[in-house]
Amino acid sequence: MEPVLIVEDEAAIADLIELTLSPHGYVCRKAASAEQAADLLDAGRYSLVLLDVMLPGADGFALLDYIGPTGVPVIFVTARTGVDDRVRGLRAGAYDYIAKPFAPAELLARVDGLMRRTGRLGPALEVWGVQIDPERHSVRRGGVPVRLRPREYELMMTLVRNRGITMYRDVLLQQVWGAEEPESSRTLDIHISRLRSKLGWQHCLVSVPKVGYRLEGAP
Amino acid sequence: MTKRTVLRRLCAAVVACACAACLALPCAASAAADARLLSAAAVRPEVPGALSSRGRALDTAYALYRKRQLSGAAVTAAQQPAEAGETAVLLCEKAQALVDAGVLDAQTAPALPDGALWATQCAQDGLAEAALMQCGQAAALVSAQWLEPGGPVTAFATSTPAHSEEADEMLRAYRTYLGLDALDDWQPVAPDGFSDGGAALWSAEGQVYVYCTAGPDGVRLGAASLSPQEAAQYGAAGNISEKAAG
Amino acid sequence: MKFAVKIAAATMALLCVTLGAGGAHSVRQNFAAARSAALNSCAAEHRNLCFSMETALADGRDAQSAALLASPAIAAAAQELTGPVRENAPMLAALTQEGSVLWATLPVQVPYAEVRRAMDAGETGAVYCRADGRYWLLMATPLQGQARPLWLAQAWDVSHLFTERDRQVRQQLLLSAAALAAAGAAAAAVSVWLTRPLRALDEAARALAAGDGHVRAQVASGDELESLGESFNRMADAIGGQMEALRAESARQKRFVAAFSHELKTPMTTLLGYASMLRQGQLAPQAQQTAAGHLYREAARLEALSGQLLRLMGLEAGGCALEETSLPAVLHAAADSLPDLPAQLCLACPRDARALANAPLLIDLVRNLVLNAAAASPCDGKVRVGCTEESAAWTLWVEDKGRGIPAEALAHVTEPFYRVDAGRARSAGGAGLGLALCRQIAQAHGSELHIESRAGCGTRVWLTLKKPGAGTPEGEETARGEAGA
Repeated sequence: MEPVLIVEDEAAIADLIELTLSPHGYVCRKAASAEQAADLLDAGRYSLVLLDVMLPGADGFALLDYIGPTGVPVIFVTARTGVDDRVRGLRAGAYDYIAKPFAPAELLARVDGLMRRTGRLGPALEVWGVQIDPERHSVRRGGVPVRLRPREYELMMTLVRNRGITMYRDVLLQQVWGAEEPESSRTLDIHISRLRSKLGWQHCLVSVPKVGYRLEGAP
Repeated sequence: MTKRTVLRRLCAAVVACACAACLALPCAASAAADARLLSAAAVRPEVPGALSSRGRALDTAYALYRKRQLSGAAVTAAQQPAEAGETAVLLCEKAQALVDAGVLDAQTAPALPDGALWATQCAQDGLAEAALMQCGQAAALVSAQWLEPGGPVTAFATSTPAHSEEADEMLRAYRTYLGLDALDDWQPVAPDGFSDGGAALWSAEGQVYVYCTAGPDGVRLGAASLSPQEAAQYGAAGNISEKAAG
Repeated sequence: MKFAVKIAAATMALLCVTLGAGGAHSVRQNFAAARSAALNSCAAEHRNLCFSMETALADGRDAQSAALLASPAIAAAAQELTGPVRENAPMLAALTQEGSVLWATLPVQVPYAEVRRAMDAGETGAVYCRADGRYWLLMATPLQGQARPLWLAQAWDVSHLFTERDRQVRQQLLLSAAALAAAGAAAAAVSVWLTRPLRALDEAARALAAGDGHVRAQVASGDELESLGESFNRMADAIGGQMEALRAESARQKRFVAAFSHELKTPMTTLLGYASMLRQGQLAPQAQQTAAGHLYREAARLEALSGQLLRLMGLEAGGCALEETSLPAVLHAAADSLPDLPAQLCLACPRDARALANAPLLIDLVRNLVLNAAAASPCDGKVRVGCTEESAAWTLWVEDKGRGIPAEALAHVTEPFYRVDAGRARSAGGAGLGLALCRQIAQAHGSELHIESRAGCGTRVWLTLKKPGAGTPEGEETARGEAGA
């Protein structure tokens, strides 16, 4: 898969996006201005451009016109959330629009969704031998369908989305169970062991003592 | 409805009523005037040149005044031919009356002329006239005017010559005969055609004037009602109109 | 419309009164004239009739014949006087002093009581009476020179006077009605026309109340209404001006809030993003370090921003204390606080320049201006700062030959959060409040910040400072008043 181009002049946000995407297998290149972005686009091929509208010098919309002919999908990232700006952006050819401040998980989900739709990503996620189709909520292990309970599926998806990062127990509990937190945290352990056995992730789903669990990234 | 609205409508109604009343004013005023007119007596307009009360008290002056009001001071009716003898008798009577009153001398009493005589008589509104004339070489005239019936002689003329100095005396006597001495505002006037040897007096209160001329042409005396305006033309002086009104 | 009705009604009321009073008066005058004419002619006729009667009865002075011949004589005389019965034969009655009628041709309608009343009125009076729908004039006169007192009474039918008068009254009424109708219509039309300016003014006032700030009254009637229209227009101008000012102020505040919330989004993105990452799970130490660093920097940025905002608002709310300050000291202090300036700082200030200023604020101002000038990349690498002496004030100026400010941005450049070039200044750490602060500081000193710039050539920013003990520099009172907005 070709790299993702991040066009953002704020280094902190560019780093944030890179930190969010790279554990999921996206190679990121950063450009801090429209001119740099144009140079990089000329030099190589990219699967996605994440574009900040408020760039120094040239306007982000001008860059959009430049990107258009290359057929690379663009997601706008910007603080301007007025209806007019959104409409302008979408009309100008952007695939999607994400407003600052954004949650990294949301960004990841949009990028994944776009990749899947444009066909640059297979319809299914392939993680440690397990094929996951998020749209149909189906899981196959080596081609054989695996039945997962809803909570197990959620837990698996959370770990997949944050693979490479050790997730804290309470965060896992909160994200999967939400308001209906179980009385005992043993429930989490039980679900983890079930996942390990069903998916064969005994070695890649690591438990970090006193911290939480981690699904190893980079298969 | 607010108080202001009520007040405004009341004002409008009052004004409308007042206007209607104004328009009806002529009707109301005339009705009121009628009522007043019918209840109180009106005043007759003052007659200018009315005879004063003293004048009215004197029969002669009043009768002459009346005659003047009705048909003028002089007799203007047409003279009717009359029987000479009868006229002569009539004229003698009148002359005698004057002689008896001391106005005329017996000598000046006319002698009836001989010869062909014309006689005329007429009367109008209380005054009667008779005249006897002889034409020809010895023209003579006797005429008299008197208040009917049987009143004093108000004019007498004869062509018997007389002395002019006697005119004043005759006038005074004549005035007394007519009973006009009660008037005390006699003033001399000079009518047209008066020559020397004549006297004429006019009284404003009685609006009557008496005249007498005596001379070789004869004697003429008489009395007539004369308005202040006419008297002024004859030379009467003073505030005539005020005296006449009094 | 109501006022027009009032005018019309007043006119008509006046007309009513005039017509009524005038009509009544004229009718009365006419009637009186007709009556006096009738009275004159009747009195003359009656007088002559009396004279004739007296003349005819002259015989009666004879006392003897009087008693014997009285009645027949009177009758004969009267008969003779009246003549044959004809249309306007005189209507007479001969009466004794006591009132017994000796002979009469009076009409039967005339009541006897009225004849007595006429006798009571005497020879100077006349009496009107109404009988059987007709009006009669009666006069009675004592005849003079009679043996026994004799009265002659005469009557005339004067109904024609009254009918004529009634006809005049009716005519007056009709005339009044017609005049009122015509005058009413005319008055209504005229008053509607006259009050047209009032209605125009009313509409204009309503439109103004409804929010149309550009409506003006067009009244050209050449009288007080026209001057009222002009006053209204002046008032509308004043209100329009105030409304414009309020709208501009409200728009300015909206812009401020929008710009401020926009400014916050970028640091919040970073803070939220890294914080949520750290919270999710244990990152690699390298990643943790990066995240923590970013968090710290963004938080510090926010702190600086809020600090600047607070100072801005503090300056807007109130003024500051001015005291005699040495200008060269201020310039040097500012220079000292910028050791790493990417341009060369040239100071040109007389040694003895002293002005009324607030030293810390003024240092800040100079600092900001110098930083801006340096950021504009002057072509000769120099930023010039100096003071020039005027008649009653000092002019403090900062010049550079950098890229300048485009003309369309010049008016907005002192607005909070405004940046000519959106990206660059942010990456350099500025929030866009620098010039807004400078402007507030200048206003707090009783002056205005003047910016002259040409794109590509350079920029010059200057303000005036009062000399100690001198009067106010230009445009101060208004500036101070606006500083509190």
